[in-house]
Amino acid sequence: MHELSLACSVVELVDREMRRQGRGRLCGIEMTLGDLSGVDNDSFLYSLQMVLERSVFAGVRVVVNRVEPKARCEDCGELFSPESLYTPCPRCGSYATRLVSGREFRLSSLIIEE
Amino acid sequence: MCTTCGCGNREMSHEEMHRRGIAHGHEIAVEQDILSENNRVARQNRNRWNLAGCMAVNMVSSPGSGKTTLLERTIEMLGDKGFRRIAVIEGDQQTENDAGRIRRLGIPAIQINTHNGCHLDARMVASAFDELQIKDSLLFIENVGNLVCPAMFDLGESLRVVLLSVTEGDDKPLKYPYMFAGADICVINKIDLLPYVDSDLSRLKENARKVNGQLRFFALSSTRGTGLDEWCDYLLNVLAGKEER
Repeated sequence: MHELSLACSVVELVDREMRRQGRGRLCGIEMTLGDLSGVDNDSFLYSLQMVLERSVFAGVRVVVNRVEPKARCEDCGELFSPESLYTPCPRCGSYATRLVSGREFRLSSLIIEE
Repeated sequence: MCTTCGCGNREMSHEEMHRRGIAHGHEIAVEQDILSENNRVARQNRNRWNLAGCMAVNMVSSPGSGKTTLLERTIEMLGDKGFRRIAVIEGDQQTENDAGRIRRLGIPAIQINTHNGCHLDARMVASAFDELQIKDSLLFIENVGNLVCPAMFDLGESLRVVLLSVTEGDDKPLKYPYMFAGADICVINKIDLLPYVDSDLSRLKENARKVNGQLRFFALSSTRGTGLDEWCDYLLNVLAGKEER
């Protein structure tokens, strides 16, 4: 349910960046979204498209680049791809793991037409 | 497609379009965290609260875990122990009910109604803090009852407490891992009901530790008073700087 308010934050951020650029017409935005970011990809995209259509950025293309999570075991050092926030280390079975990627939730770039 | 800017032009290179003055896209790297604005305000809150001598505790849980009742009993017991500098920010979709319950104890409380919102964010809490006009106080923030959305929003708190009642099942930390991953403290409430439910206290803790090995636990019953003493002493020790958060 928080995807809608996150989508609004994205549009605010896009708006701020476009003002900073001060030129061109926005035709696309690129996002980076980790699979363990806590943001649901489908409902986020749906919300974002809905908010964009009702903003000055109607018609803008959205590309979401998903990031596969990687975790490091703090006991044996193994680097692995966890399915959840509590996937144990596949090598030693420890739950003491640290997520090194997969929590990303960024506006990566703007595609501007000049 | 032009690979430089992804503009979709199939016939020409990016450079060629420049030469011919054809409108096309340019990629501008931004790399900004979507939560950066909330996180900025949260950092600002944390600084302001530190300067005012206030320590904020963000209480998160599902609806009905007993956040407000725990706050009422905690306020009373801290009062018995001689500590009364407390204020509360209440978050709910609607009604002033919870703030009313706190005010009846003689404690200032601000109610935030989020209406369609599912969580409190740093900005809402910043204006509620302004309204409270407090210093040298313990500030409880009771978040909207929701075990999903509030996990992503830092409010500027010093401690995040996730509250879980035994009636909700001991696998809740695995069902809602984000909330448990981001918390410092896990308060297990309604332990007086353990004989009547299938929840097992050690299994619950084990599940929570799988998600977050740093969690500290307090098991208590707000209505019976069991375990409240230890919880309140912990809060006082943190306030006095005698205990690590």
